[in-house]
Amino acid sequence: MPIISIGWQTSTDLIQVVKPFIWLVTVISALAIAEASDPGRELYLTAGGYGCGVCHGPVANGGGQAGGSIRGASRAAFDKALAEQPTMRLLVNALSQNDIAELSRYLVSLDKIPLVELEYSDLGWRITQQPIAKGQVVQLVVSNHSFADLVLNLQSFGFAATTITPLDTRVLEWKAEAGTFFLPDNELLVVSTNEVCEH
Amino acid sequence: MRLSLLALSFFASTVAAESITVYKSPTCGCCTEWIKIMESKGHDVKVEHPFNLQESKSQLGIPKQLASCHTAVIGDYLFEGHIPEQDILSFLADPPVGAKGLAVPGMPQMSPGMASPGQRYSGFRVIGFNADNQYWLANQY
Repeated sequence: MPIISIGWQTSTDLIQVVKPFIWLVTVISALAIAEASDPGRELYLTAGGYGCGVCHGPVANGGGQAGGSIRGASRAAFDKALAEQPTMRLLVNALSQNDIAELSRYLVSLDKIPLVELEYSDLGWRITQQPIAKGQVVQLVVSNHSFADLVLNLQSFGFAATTITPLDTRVLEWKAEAGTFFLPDNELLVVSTNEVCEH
Repeated sequence: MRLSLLALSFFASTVAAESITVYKSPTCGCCTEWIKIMESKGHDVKVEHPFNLQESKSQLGIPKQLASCHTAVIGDYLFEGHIPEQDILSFLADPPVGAKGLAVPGMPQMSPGMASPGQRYSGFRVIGFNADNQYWLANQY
């Protein structure tokens, strides 16, 4: 079932996604509030005035940008980058120790969230997916690199069909149930019946 | 002959020089590298550090899909991100009807200000846009 949609889309689209699942409204609201008030994610979207996502993608997934993926990056790796990398060094004075701690916590938390990336261009779909176990929260990052509207159909996941405008990127979150689910281009996403092991 | 070539070169650089205002964050190093490139081509660049950069981009009219680190304003036109100088000059020489500007969204590794000096630009698109949030491919590297 879809639990929340985050990222660069309009709130109207978010409402369209959750509308059929009224019985989940209370849970969805609670999760949405938790997401919106996550100081680490808020910093990720705004740090330095432009946000980390410009270089590292909307959910630290890289997204084809120069900074690459930093999902799951440790505090030690973060400190090393701030000390050594020219682009990151400029951020040292813009981030407090508390900011760095919050950003690091957010990045580490992403390590437990499998990623499915769906990129559409004039050449068709390019899909990459990580192994997913039942019960895990999954982030589906959908990018429309084309110059036409893209109708996204992920109904087997419980999402209503939605339109992604040209050059936009959408991040959907989904709590994995065991089974087989249909991605675009007839690709399948298989969720094992094993519960995820917390570590 | 040599004198006339020098004169032609001087004339060309004078014609191409633009007055540019760049909105950026003080923490952005690659923005500064892009500005250095534009200045080395003879353009006059004025830098602004707005309190809220994202709000400034929104007020200027940069579509969120096209956002990068810095926004350059030349006359009535907007130039978002690491756009090669040549694309800006081509655009300004003959702006498409209704166009608002150009953008290189995000931070492509091999774009001006991101690539090392002398490296060939590659792996990104220059996108044209208008006030109705319609987009088109202006160039591809």
